[in-house]
Amino acid sequence: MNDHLCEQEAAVVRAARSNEWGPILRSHLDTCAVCREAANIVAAMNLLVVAEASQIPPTPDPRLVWLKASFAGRQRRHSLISRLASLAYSVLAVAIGVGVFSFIDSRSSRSDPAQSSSPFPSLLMGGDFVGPILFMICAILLLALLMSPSAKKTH
Amino acid sequence: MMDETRFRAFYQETFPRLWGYVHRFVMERAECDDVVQEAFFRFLRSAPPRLSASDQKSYLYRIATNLVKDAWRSRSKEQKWLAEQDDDDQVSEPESGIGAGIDITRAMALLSPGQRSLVWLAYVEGYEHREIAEIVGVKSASVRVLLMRARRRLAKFLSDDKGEKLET
Repeated sequence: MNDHLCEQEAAVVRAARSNEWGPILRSHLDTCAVCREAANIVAAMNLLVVAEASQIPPTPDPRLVWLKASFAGRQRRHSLISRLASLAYSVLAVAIGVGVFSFIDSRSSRSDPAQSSSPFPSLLMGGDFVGPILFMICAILLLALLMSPSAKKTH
Repeated sequence: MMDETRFRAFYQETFPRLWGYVHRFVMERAECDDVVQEAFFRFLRSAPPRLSASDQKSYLYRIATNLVKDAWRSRSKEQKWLAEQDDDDQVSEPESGIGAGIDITRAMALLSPGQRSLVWLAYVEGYEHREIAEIVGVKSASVRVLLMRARRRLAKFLSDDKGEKLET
């Protein structure tokens, strides 16, 4: 197998492609059948490229590909935004759940004196009015998101 | 994504050679056009930013090679991309020269698609073995041997062809 490999082959191919032969490579070519063969293949391939140049169609306008890729990129970004919106809905749903829970919790603590004197008052809320306010904010945010154009397209 | 002006220049520069490369495997002109356009489209969508000019080109060739492989596989699942026929091992000694008028197109068509790809990338595009490995998806160490086999086989076909022409 080593009879068919030569360390100089890459340099010979480069020289054959550019037609710039140094004296060392040229003398190597006289003694190395492998590199001679590689140089001959490069020459033959050059002939092929020249011969087939007329078959290559004229270069089309790249704008169509560019526009298609731009559009696809925009769609991809839009889909990412939609996924983020879905994630935001989930977070909001949890927040609303917490808000409702806190609201109920604060109402029941007011009605139950034993609960209200608990040494561990509602840690989440910190007061009677915070729960309902949080609930309202969450509800408004959810409504706003549901009415946003990206959310409409997602659903 | 690459800006439009740079893409236009890149496209103008690479289209003819890429078309020639793809046409080695996809003989139908319309299909060849489609593969080339799809390669540029995928390049725009997925090429990492800040690639050097040579890396951009090899990235494009990698995409095109994969598209051609897919087309080839869907056409004939039995034929392997880098398949070699039994007579591949029967390689002749290196020839001293290749005469003019040799039907290189016919000789190239006799190679397997994978070998055609290796020969084109190495001897027409001038890629290094490492780059060829990335483009065709083989180990860098294998490229040297695979390329040697492809070169030997092509030289054999060319010398056979020369012999046939001399006889006639």
